[in-house]
Amino acid sequence: MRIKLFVTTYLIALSTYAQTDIPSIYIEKAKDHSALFIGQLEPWFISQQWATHPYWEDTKFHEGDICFEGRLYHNIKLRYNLFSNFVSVTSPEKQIAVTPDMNKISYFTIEGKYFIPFNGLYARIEYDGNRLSLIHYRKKNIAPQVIVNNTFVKNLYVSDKYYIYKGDSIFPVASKGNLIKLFPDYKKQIKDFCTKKRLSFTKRDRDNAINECAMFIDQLLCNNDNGHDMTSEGNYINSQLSKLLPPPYTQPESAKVTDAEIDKVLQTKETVRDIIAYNMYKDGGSIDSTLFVEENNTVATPGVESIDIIREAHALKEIQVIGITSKIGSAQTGMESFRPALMKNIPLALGESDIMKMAMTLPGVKSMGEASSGLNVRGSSSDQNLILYNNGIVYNPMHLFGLFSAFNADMVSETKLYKGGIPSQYGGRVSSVMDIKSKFADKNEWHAQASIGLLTSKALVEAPIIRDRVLLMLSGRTTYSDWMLKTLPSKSGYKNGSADFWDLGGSLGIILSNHHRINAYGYYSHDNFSFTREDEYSYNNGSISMEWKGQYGDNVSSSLSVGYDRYDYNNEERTYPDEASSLSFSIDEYFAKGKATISSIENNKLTIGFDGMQYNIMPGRFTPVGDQSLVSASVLNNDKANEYAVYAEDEFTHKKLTLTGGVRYNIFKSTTPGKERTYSSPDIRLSMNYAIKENQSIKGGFNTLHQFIHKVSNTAIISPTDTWILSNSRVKPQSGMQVSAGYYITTNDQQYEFGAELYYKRMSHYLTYRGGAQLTMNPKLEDDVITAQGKAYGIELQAKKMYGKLDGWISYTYSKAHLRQDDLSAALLVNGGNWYDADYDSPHEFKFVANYKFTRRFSISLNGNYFSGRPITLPTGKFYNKEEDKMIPYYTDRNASRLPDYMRMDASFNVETGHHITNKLKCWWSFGVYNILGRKNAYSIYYKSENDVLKCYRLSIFGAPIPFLSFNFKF
Amino acid sequence: MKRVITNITAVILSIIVTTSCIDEYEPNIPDNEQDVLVFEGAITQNSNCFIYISKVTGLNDVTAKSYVSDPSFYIIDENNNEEPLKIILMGYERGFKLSIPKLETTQKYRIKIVAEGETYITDPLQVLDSEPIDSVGFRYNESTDDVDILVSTHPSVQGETQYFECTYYETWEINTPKQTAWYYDADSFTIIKNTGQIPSRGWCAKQNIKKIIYSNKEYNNGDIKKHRIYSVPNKDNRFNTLYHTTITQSRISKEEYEYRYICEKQSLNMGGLFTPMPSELPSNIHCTSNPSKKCSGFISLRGTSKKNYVFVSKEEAKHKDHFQILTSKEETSETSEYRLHLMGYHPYIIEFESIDGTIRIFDWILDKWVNCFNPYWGCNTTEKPEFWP
Repeated sequence: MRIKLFVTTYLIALSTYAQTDIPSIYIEKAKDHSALFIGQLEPWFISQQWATHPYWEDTKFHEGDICFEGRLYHNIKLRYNLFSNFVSVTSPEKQIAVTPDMNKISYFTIEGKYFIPFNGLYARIEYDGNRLSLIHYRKKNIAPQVIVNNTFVKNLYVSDKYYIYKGDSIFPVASKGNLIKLFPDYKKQIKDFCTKKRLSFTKRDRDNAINECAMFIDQLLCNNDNGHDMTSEGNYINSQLSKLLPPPYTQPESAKVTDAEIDKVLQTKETVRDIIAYNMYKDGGSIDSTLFVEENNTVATPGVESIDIIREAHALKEIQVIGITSKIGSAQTGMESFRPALMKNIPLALGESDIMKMAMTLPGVKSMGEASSGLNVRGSSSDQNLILYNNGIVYNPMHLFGLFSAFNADMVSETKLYKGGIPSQYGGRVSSVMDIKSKFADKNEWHAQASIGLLTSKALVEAPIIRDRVLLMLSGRTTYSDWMLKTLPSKSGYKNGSADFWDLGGSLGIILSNHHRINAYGYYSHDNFSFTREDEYSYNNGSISMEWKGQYGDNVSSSLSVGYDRYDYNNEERTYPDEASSLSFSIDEYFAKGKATISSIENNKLTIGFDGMQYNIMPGRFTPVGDQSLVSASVLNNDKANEYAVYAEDEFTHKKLTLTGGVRYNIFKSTTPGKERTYSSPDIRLSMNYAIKENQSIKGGFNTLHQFIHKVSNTAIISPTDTWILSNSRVKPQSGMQVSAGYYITTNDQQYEFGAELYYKRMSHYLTYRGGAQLTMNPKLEDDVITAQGKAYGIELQAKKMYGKLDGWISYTYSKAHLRQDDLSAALLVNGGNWYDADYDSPHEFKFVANYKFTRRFSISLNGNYFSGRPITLPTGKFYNKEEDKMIPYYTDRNASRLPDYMRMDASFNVETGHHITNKLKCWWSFGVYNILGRKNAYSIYYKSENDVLKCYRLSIFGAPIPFLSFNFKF
Repeated sequence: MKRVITNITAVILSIIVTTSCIDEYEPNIPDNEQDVLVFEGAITQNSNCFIYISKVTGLNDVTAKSYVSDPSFYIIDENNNEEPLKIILMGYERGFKLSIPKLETTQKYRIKIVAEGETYITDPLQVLDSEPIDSVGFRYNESTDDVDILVSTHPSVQGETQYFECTYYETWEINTPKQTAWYYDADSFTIIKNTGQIPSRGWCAKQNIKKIIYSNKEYNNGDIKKHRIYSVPNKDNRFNTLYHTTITQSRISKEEYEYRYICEKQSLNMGGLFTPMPSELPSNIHCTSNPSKKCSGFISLRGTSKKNYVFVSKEEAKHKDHFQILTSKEETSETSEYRLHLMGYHPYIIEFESIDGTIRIFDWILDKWVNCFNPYWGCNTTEKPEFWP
């Protein structure tokens, strides 16, 4: 009804407000200063940031007419942005795109088709017949982000509706049935026509079918009314437009310039000011049009002296911020992307948004339980996953025994986790890659953000030191659990313990030009904890890097980065002053990486690059602590090596098929004295994505990978007692292979996505612990480890609801991971040389994350986890040991038993205040409960001999519900 | 407000900490590993030795005793010459004392054991040269109030990582400045007086059961300097007068070190955040008559052990006057003398004459202090050892 009234009113208005052709002399003289070309510059549409364009048909400017202020401008180049509802026209002289005031546009035509106001937008008149007209109403709304070329891009979904205008009424039509219902007298003719023409009313073919039918029915109506007035009904719009008469021409005030003045202005601009060209890109990366911007950041705008440039100033009615992304578009299998800042409400780590915990909500990603550092991805050990933070490697990504990740989520822009199809640019680990990128500060305004919780606080500052040029972002986080632990009663056992951490992060972006930019990143985290006064553990992660990014023309881009990473730990033991000692370990790395992407060949995107890395590992330094210590200082010889890699990868797209093939050639050279050895090996990376339909795709992938640095540990988790060793003449590189396949489907509105992925992987030369071996301060560590081969396989099923009041995902994973000792000729074989379950094997895994928004202010989040208990080695009996003079447990087969299944659910209630658009201070509270079920999930089970009786104990990290509260604000 | 916030946070943290809990648990464990034999022992050159044969029993088996009957032992040299080892003594708790012939340090030997119808043979074993102990020392540890006994030694090959085992034999003198002749006779349920002469000095001796293992890998140039072997609380009666300990050191193989290390660790509390995961026991013995039959354990050959000793005086140990910590009968709620006796108390009665007649001071003292009053009750001997100063 509203639509009908609107169109009718509009048409009545047209009839009373006649149009006039603009005198050609006006445009000839005023040129870019004509009234039509005075307005805001068209906001940038950067095609690289969008999967689809916001315009009606395409991004091109088309010939058309436009009725502006009652004057009809002919042969104007224009395009219509549906998403933001504006028309942009290019000025005749400098070809600058500006957006005239939409309130002054009565209608416009593109390629001969009329666009008239309709339901808040402009609808196209597809057919304007004698008895009826066909109106095509198109709408573009924001859709979940998708991944194109491994990058998050914005996305729009298109909805088309058709209306028949007949007899002063408007009827929506979408199918043959609608038409028959509307014209019941011509039922048979319509049916026959559709059959004869083989018309289909599916979404893809609906446009043509309805058009053809409309013309046919109009013809039928005309034939039936033969002899009657042919202009009485349908051709109403055309008839109204043709009746419009031009009012007397008056030049707009803003455009009242004389010829002389125009010449003067233009001469001044060209001679005095430097003009910088800003390209606007079409889909595919080619330049669509060019903006001319003065160097002082104003625009050489026709009709005005200067105006501030406005970048991406889309006035959106509403954007739904979505942290979940669709997998349909990316070529890789097993690729997960998320933006932590957009998922702040998920109750993951005692009220704090946390990247690592977020990753663990994804199928196939898990840890060894609470208080466990590191990730286990698709049946891999924690050291087989490469964790990159701004290109630097992070070896221990967790704080406080794994309770918090070492990265401040507010600082993180985007995280990509490659579980399966790993691009050629990554190497050095045999299982997965997690690539974490920092955010940059706002280009124009200062912002600050802070969070205060019961255990941690953090702050972040965004500072555009030079607007649009130099952007600085700094973040810091710390915990104050240390002093609070001291308030606990003595019987808790933690009164004399301490635990604290802090981390600092920063990013500096220097925008040299629109095509060149330098980024610098810095990161440092520190952990320090002790269980008693006599021991102390500390570890640090640090990274500093610099990256230069360049764009050369439309089709070539490059990046070059150099950096330095460090991981070290230091453990002190002071129980006996004469034995008080400190054990320290460190890894230092220098790296250089270069990458170029070339997309000049149609349908191909070629990526080439190199990596270089120098390792320097200090395996152990043992030093006395205190004056009374009698310990002699000793240092093991450093492990040194260089790793190089070159790679090339091409992404070929043809219609529905995307194929990616790459080769990475690794050269590793151990330079440790006495252990020199060079290894070289190629890695093959293949992936395929075939779009069965617009919303369905199948993918496949095949990877081979090599790893030259190995963690040697006899604990289940990454801990500050682990030792890392490099491949050398005695330690071979680990090698891995993975095959994976997946099927994905989304609903038409992209609200729901369903996916299934299968994988199978093999690996060899994996280092595992040998019972009784001393792993620290061991100069011949390679003699004390066992090499094993591994295999893992599984299926991951996931369903996502991408947006709406309720969003989130649910997943189930079945997976297995096995190990077997490599050298079957060894005297002592683990489990007799048979395959056995790896420490991180967990066959069944069920997870869900759900957020429900009651209003924009209040929401509730749930996070659930269930997985099978991990394998452990339990004794099968006991025997009397004379040396210990007691019964001790008898362990035989490794990992023959399992911990009880793990189940946990967390809930949080979130309150966001300050939604008012003028309110700069945004606050939100999060109240919640971690482990709301209060389940005592076992971290480990162990036996203890007590009076010749072996008693079994279960250690739980969180055995009860843990409430949490955090307050966050941003301005 | 600040106080409220502090209290709330303290309560929540308390919940976090106290909910990190350890509780007893009953896992489902297969019991198909029972009756596996575990062989342990060290054969010392030119000496007698014990080999222990244990049988793996179920975790919930409360009897916990399972003996192996009539095993036989053999030693096989590199030429496959087999010589039986004579069982001198079938000891308590599955130990078999064997007579060992002279062994060549240049040869490798295997030990064969026939038990319960199956034959078990070790990997080839070689006698390892024992290293001398450079010195034995001690140090009073202020932080623990213990006296630490320290050993310094060096490897036979400079720079080589070597592994050692040691035992110690303690002797200490008990001097009784105050004596009591009274004791509780549990047969007659009465306190009676010993009419014999009461000596004022006595000596106690104890051989430690647990052998201590260590290596030189954490020391510069491989020389072990002042490595702590064990500690004795300075309040202990060992430091009543003079304390002596003899350390006997043997060199062991890396494999044996690891076997012993695992046994030691697995008998302790495991399952912590950074504690190693339990692992299967390494073994150097296999069932040859039935390769599928599991067995475990470690048997080693030893060279001659080397000894060294140290004396520690009462003053050096900073031994405290133990009379200050007497526990009197009045301090206990027990009234039955027999029950006090069972609890380890002894009567402490001192008689002396006064103008009012004979006065008796009567108390009950704990067993650990009884040596101070009557060496007969706690000492091995009242004869002074030959080496005693």
